[in-house]
Amino acid sequence: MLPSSFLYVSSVAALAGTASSLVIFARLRETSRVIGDESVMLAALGILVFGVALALEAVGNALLHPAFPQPFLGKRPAQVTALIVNRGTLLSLPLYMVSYVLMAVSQYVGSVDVRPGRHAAVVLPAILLVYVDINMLSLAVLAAASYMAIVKYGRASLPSAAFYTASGASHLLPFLLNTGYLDWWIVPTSTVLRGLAPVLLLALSTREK
Amino acid sequence: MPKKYRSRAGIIYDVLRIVLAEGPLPPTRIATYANLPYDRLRVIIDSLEEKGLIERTENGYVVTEEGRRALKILEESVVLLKSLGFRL
Repeated sequence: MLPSSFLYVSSVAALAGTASSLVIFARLRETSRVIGDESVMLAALGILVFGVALALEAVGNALLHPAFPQPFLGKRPAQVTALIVNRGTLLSLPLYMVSYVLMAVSQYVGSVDVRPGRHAAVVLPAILLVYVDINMLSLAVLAAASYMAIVKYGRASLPSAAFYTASGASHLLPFLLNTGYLDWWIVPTSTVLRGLAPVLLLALSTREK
Repeated sequence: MPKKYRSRAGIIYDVLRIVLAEGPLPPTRIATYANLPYDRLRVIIDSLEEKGLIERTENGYVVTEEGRRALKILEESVVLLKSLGFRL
């Protein structure tokens, strides 16, 4: 498959992810409204931002114009050049961060300490900025949220594991760019993984009912 | 070993199911069935009553028609909420 056609395939996968995210958002928003639990609304907003990021990534990458002027590249020109080809991904990465933070915060805002004599404590995962790489930050937030949710609540379901594994893998893959390994398939593949994450979440959740 | 934390949505889900199945129930009995300290349950009961999902009768709390609808919507979202880290 040619690199350009794979870029379009990844955009289609991302748009499928957007559609699934919107369905999940609508369900969670309705649930939050009827039971009056704001933490569910935070999770719904997290999924909505994830869907918007996927749409931005899909449209940004698919509408790439060959005549797009190349800026002065400065440091790490090869990596920057590779990422300019996928500028939709670059634009959307901060939105993924926002989405993961919203999803993580929703778990802690909505948690109730059920030990007698104690009161609810809100604990937010600490975000340590060790390296200016939005993928690494996203991965750190995802890992912290998943780990603390399992420590706190004690289990992970299949749809949950599928969603977080696909999202995590999509941010892990672009680490290859930092090692100097540049290839056309890396960023579109990470887009496909991110697009599949909400599709899997919705499909497996529906199957488990 | 019982877990120390439960999600607010999960507690609401349990309370609505318990009151629907066993009601009318006094709040102390709901706390026992839901396995919750009374002060934590009281906050939930007050908010559900304020939203019109349960109502107080002479014999205890019962689920309203609005509460039944809310429970149905909640049941449809249970797997999604679990998948996003909520304990239900």
